[in-house]
Amino acid sequence: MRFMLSTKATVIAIAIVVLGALGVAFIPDFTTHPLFIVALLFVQSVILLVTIRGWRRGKKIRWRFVLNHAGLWLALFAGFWGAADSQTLRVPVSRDKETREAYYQNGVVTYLDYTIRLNDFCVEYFSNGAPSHYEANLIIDSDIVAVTVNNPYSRSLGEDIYLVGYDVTKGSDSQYCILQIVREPWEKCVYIGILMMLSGALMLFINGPKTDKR
Amino acid sequence: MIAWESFIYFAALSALLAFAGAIFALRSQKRSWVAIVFNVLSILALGSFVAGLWVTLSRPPMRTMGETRLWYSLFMLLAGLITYIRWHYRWIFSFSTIMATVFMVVNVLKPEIHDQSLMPALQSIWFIPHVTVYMFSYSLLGVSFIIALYMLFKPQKELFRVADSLVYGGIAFFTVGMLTGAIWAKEAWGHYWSWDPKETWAVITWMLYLLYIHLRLFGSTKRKWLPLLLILSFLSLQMCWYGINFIPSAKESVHLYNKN
Repeated sequence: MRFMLSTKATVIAIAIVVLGALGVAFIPDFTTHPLFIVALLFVQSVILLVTIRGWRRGKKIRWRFVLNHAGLWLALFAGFWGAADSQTLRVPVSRDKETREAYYQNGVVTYLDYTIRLNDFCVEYFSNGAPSHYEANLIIDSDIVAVTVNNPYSRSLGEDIYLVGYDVTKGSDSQYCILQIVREPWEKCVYIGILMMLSGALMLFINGPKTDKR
Repeated sequence: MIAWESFIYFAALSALLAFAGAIFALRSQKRSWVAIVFNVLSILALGSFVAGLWVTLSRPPMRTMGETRLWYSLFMLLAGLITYIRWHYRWIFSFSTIMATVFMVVNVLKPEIHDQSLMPALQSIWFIPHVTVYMFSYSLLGVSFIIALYMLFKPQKELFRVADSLVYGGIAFFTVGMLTGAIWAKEAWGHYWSWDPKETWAVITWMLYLLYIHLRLFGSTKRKWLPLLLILSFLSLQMCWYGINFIPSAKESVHLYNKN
């Protein structure tokens, strides 16, 4: 415990993240390696313990410290443990009939608890022929929904539907489109962590190096 | 109509003004207002080109490698100006001018502008904040790199204060860049983080600067090493910014600016 709270542990944790990321940069599939998992667990623990110990000085809550550290911990924690509950599915959707079939990344089929059909598809182009905008109009159960790149449809909390592909040879006459469904029940936890770190970063900029000096 | 063809004139004017400012700053013992005015004019010259290009292209000029270098030069001059006004180091303009000029010269010789259109994936409210925040951060960290180099040869205790301020500001913006990127990635592809080569090198860079910040807070390390850490961090930043374009494994990155 004393070790985990020491400055040495912090330095080691940071160094481990650097080494881990270097591993990801140079070794294929390193993110699923046991070493990587153990390293992440260690780093999460150090951040958590340091946050619990240092969240206030005397009676004063150290907001900048808490937002940066707890935010990072929450995003890491929810991203790490939420990964097991997350699913990424591909769904080919056609104009002529509604579908429930979705595919995992390994090709295994699964069935959605709602149906999707492609109602309309539209592509606009720049003068050089590159697509400037494309949009799928979908019927999900009986709701009409528009999905474009950067504007997914949120089916429920933690389940979003993305447009990822269409028949580029046919453009607006495309008979099908490819959707991606991402189920990430913990996504809002990560989001809260991100918002906390964003506020922490702003405080880092506004207050500068002095405030935290002993 | 301001297009890339006219860049060389704006760049030359901007560089000349910045160099004039740098000379005035070097020759003056106190804070030189002439130097500040020259530097402001230099920023305006380059800034008007960026604004004009934005209008001509009818999209933000942040899509290609050359365009990001444009912002870097602009923010480099700005960061130099802020550092000079705040701490009035005589030599800071010389370095910020040289760095800004190097990137302008690269842009004249090798513009890398390619495709002019803004593909749907980049049409997002996050595009402009994500890129400008990063470029501003790169330039602040660039100035901290200059300071670190200076400290290697002329170690001065109070220079650490300047380096700290620049690193805090730089890493704050860097963090905002990463987090806006994560929110955008969730919106565009469904995942906050996917270990894209650029993301991976951003983490490495982020952590190296955080290591510097923590070591400074702990105060126990030998001072000699810290400027070296800042230099290493800056090298990692270069890897993150454009180095990954040259790695074969990064061919699939969503962050390449050098392909159509």
